[in-house]
Amino acid sequence: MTDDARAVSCLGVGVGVAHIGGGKAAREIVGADFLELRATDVALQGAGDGFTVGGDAPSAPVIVRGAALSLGTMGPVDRTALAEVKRLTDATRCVYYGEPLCMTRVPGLDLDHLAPIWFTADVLASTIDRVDAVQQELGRPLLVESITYMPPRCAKPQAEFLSGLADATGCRLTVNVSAVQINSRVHGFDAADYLDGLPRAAVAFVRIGPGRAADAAWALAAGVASATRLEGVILDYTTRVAGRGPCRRDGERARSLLIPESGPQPGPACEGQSRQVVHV
Amino acid sequence: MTAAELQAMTARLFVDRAFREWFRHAPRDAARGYLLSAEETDMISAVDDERLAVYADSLRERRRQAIATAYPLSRMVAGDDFERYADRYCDLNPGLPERERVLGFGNYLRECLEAEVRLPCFARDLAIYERHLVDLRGLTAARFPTDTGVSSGTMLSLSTVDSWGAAGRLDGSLSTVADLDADRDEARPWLSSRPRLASWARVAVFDYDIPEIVADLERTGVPPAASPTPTGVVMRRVGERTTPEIFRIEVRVAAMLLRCTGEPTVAALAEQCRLDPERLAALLASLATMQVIACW
Repeated sequence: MTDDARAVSCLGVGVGVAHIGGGKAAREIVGADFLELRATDVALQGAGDGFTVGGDAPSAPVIVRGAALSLGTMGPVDRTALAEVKRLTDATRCVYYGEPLCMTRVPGLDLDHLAPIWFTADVLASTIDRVDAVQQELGRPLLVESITYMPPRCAKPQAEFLSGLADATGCRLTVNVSAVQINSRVHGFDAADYLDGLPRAAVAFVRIGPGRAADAAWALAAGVASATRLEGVILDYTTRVAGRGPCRRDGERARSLLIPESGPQPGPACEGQSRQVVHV
Repeated sequence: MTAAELQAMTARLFVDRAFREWFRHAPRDAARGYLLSAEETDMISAVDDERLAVYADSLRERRRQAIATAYPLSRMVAGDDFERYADRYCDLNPGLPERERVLGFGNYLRECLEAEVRLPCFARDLAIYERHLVDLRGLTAARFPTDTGVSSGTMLSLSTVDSWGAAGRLDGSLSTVADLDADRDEARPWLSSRPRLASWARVAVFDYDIPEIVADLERTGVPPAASPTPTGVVMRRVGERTTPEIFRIEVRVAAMLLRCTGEPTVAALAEQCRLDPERLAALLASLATMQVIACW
């Protein structure tokens, strides 16, 4: 991974959940410090009235993950979709808002899925513009997640693309090690090589889906953690909770990935829903 | 900006099975409709068919799954035919956003079932019933009504208006109903009101007793024998619950509600539906209290 002198405070271990009830249980078992919510699960209660997920309001800091902005689509970002995201981030006071690096639509065609993009110079230039526009509107760094599908014969390797994007925009990255692990098998690339090429300073979070080839994914996560200063580890329980015992083990493993001095830090950052990440 | 063209073609390859097949046999011919640079033409021509198929199949399966999840009872009744219709529908509509696609399938299924004689006759009504549920579940609103005073399952009809205590529930704007002077239209300003169905309510008139059939299906998992029984239904989203409340409603009242688009006045509705205006006004007042009618 490429290096850079940048230090950040740490958010800790988080769980991705589809409803707060599940989040409460997961927090209790895992000892999670924050929740990751899908934008589609969040119900806003009207101006200034907060928000709920499945009827409950969270009592922990949250990260919100959406896909409405289709970051990889060529051209300017959809202002209506961006306004909705702005409303969402204001209402939830989320620590971060994240989107995958993909296209979910092109003119006249909705994919409703995280479709891979071509890693070309034109697409990079367009994506930089889009991420800049989003960050300007939201007033905070965007959390970009690579979906790690490798189109053949792309002009720029994905890692190079992500480095260019992070350098130009200051966006932060989430690395889904479970997806990397699975895709490396399906598409025949070396997962460790891929991770090694990512821009070290921009990697803020590792996402890991318990149960999906977990041991190999945890090994990759450990590799990423040792090469970066992670702000957090996200245990993705959005679609499946592994069970009480495995969840507890996941929590312990996740916490061990975070270097001691960067464990969850008390103070305004973790007390409120919103927090400024300090870049040095 | 040819990169946008490359994206457009790639996305089409992901979702359009016929286009993908064309591309497989003659990539350069298929690419002719897109303004690509020579390098981009080479890039897309080099796409591995198998990888593309794996991705496209996963996308297609996800779409079929979304449809199957949205129409569980229709799937139960139509069996293999449902899968065939869902597959064909995905082919016919590769580019719709998910909500539109899933909603559109309800209409498509109903149309297909019009000519289908092997399946129970109520399957057509069931498709529309489930489409309404999908529609209501997908709504987003700052606030849905919570307590609206009438419990789910209540039969709504002109003859039960009085028992709901409609007059007692009238708010300020409706109080004129209680004081109406039947002989003078100018004393009945409510005649010119233009009721509109609330955004969180749906109305349907079915040929079969769909609430009964749904209850049977959910209890037994077996399509019941059913004879035609025209049935009106009001469905209403309540609070954060994604399962709407269902009310039976007199068919002529349902037919009237279907006309409540915010355009016709109460007077026009009464005439079109051959209902007594005062009785209609009282009914609408109750429906407004239940938050089925808005903009009264």
